Amino acid sequence: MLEVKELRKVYGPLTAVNGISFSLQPGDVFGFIGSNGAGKTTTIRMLATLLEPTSGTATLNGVDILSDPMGIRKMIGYMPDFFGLYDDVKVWEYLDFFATIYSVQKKHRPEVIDNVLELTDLTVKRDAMVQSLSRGMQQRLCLARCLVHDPAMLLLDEPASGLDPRARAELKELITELGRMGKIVIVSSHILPELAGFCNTVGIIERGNILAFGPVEQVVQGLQSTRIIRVRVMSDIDGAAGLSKEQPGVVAVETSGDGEVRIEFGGSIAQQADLLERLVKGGQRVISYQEEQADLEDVFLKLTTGAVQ
Amino acid sequence: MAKVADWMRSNAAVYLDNASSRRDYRAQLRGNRAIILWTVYLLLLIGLGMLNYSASSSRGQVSVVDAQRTLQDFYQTVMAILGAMVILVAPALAATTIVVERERKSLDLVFSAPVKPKSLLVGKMISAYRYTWMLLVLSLPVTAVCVVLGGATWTEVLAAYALLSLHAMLYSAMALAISALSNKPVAALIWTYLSVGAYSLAAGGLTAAAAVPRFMGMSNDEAPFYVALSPLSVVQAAGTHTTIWGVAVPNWILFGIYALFLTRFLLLGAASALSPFNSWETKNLRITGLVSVAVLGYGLAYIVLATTHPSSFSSGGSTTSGKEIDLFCAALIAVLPMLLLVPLPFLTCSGPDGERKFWPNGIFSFKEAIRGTPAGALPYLLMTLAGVTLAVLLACVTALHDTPGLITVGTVVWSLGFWIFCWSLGRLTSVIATELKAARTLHLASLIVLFGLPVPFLFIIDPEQQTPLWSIYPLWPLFSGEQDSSYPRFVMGLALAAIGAIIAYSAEKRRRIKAAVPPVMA
Repeated sequence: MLEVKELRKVYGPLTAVNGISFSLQPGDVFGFIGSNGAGKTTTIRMLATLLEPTSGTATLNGVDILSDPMGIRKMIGYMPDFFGLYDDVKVWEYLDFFATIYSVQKKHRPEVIDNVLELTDLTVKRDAMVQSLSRGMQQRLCLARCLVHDPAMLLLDEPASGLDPRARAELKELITELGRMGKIVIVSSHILPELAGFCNTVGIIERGNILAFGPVEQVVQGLQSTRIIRVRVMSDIDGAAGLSKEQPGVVAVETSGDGEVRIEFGGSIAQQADLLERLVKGGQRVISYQEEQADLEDVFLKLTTGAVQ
Repeated sequence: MAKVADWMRSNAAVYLDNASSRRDYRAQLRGNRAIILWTVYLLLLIGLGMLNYSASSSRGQVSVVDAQRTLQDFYQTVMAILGAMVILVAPALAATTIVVERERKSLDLVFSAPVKPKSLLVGKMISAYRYTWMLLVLSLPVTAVCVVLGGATWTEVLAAYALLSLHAMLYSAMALAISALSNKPVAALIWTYLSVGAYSLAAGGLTAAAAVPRFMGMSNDEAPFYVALSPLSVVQAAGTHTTIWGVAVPNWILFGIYALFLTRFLLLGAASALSPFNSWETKNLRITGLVSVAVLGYGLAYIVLATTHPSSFSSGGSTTSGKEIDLFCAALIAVLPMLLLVPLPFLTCSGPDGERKFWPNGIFSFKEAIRGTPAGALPYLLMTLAGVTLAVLLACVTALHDTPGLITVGTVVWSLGFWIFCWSLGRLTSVIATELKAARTLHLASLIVLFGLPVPFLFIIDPEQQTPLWSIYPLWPLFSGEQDSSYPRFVMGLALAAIGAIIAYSAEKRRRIKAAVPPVMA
């Protein structure tokens, strides 16, 4: 479990991180959202013990980042927003280097290297030179490097920046899999569609302050008093709209030419279920009844002022 | 027992299974680059041997003595070339190793793993040293020819190679320390070669001074150990020894002790630069520095006083007057702490840097002296000064059963004032400059301007040193014609201390005013 307590970093007159606190459980994939310069990288570097907090601290499975940085380093895998690759080594040599510095026993190193290469789908590139890899592959190699010692937490700073859509999709899949493996994954990004798909928890940071934190749905709902329900019916779209208006909790109803009713709904979950029941009992042949997906981008734009870019 | 096992395991990992060293080894030997370089190097050495041989053989019949002298000259030439190679190649191999990693940002990846700076530095040291050593080993066949033909003995060759290896280690450590302190590879290279050049010149001067009696036939194989300080004269130094308590100790062994100590010191400095606040490396560096300066002070004072005073147990020494002893002790107390001038900006300057070890944390704290934060700068300087003074006094008492006089006391006061003044400049520049790096540069520049630049101007204005103009120069009391008197030292010391106190007070006042302004969000 990760517990961040009042973490603060000040550089002279600039407060990069202003006493942030949150906690994460094993298996959480945490999307750390913020504009450039909001304080994401500074927070991640403090958690990676590369930067000393001005005040506050954090603990991972009871180990403190200030009092036992070496203990923390054994439990984390840090992937910065740059590659930091040695360009004169082969892929397996690069992983062997990190396996050695993470004190993986010599006899286990070949097996560990093969495993992480398989996990990151780089087995065929085992003997390739690092500089010959594509950007997406280099990113996956960086992730493989973070995994050689089976860390409890991964700190991924802007992992998908500069990747093409296919490489981005592969990376998403990989991060989701790591979450399923029970690791705490912290992914920072300012590209919101990148995070929406696979994060189960998000935190929005601006000017060093956490503006929102929690499960994605909770954060979105916390900010939106109403939600949008889209209903598609076989015919009589006006009838469906009329029935919907009578249901408690409905704020506004709009219809479109293609047989869809857009309902702005502010009621409870039970009332949402009642609305469907009312439509069906009212003789409407409902094809689909769908709540619109939570939109992180809207939340982000509402919360932040965009002062830091 | 478990702790010993852990210690052995961690050291085995650092020295025998070092990841950095292995990675560099693979990169160094990849492709044909290394083989081609070594082949060219070997061909050059062989070519030199062939040229020398053909020049000798073209002279027709020569006497055995002439033939042997030619071989000895050839051997000396080869070893001088190897010495030059060590000066040029060893620093080049290490100078950019850390700084390139910092620029490539791979250093962050390494330090996000449970790696201590020691492990990284040992790895880098092994990588650079191994390559230079390989070049030395490759030259063995050429020097072996000289042994086979009678130009040198195996003992001389092995001693010379031991000296060259130790020089290579020292130069690599020097380059590595500068690399750890630099931010750009080019700057690291320039600073490395400037430092290596300055050290080599100073070492060459000392070596020459030590070798003069030998060249003039005034002594046999006995020479002070600093005859071995220059890699260009390993042949001359290899056969020499220093007599300590009646035992002839080969100078290459004494140089080995010196080189190992200095290498350790330089690597500790590099490790401290790479370490965070309150690290073991910084504490170790500070304590090592303090103890070393005191031991050096005691050793130098004892050796000189014991071998030059008639009451000492040395039989061949010359008579020394009480005033000369006083002046000698005063000179040691003034000069030895000057070694701190090089790291002074790092000791004294503070700033809003990312690292807590440089944050402004007060004016004076003994606890911080060993931790290495700005509040500990003045206590550390004073502790060093006290250490040297006590060591010199102790040497005087043990060697002569006597104590130095008022000139030494005056010099202690002068030193006190001088270091308070230098420290206060660091405090001032830290307040003036917005960044730590700028504060350090400004501090260094102010030291050069105040203590270096006035000398040529004063010489132009008053070459005879007759007018009182010279008396405003802070270092003047140490070199003036009035050196037999302690009075100017007292006066200058007190004046420097008073000015330093005023500067430090106003700097602190200004810092507090700046700190009181609420932080502005960027």
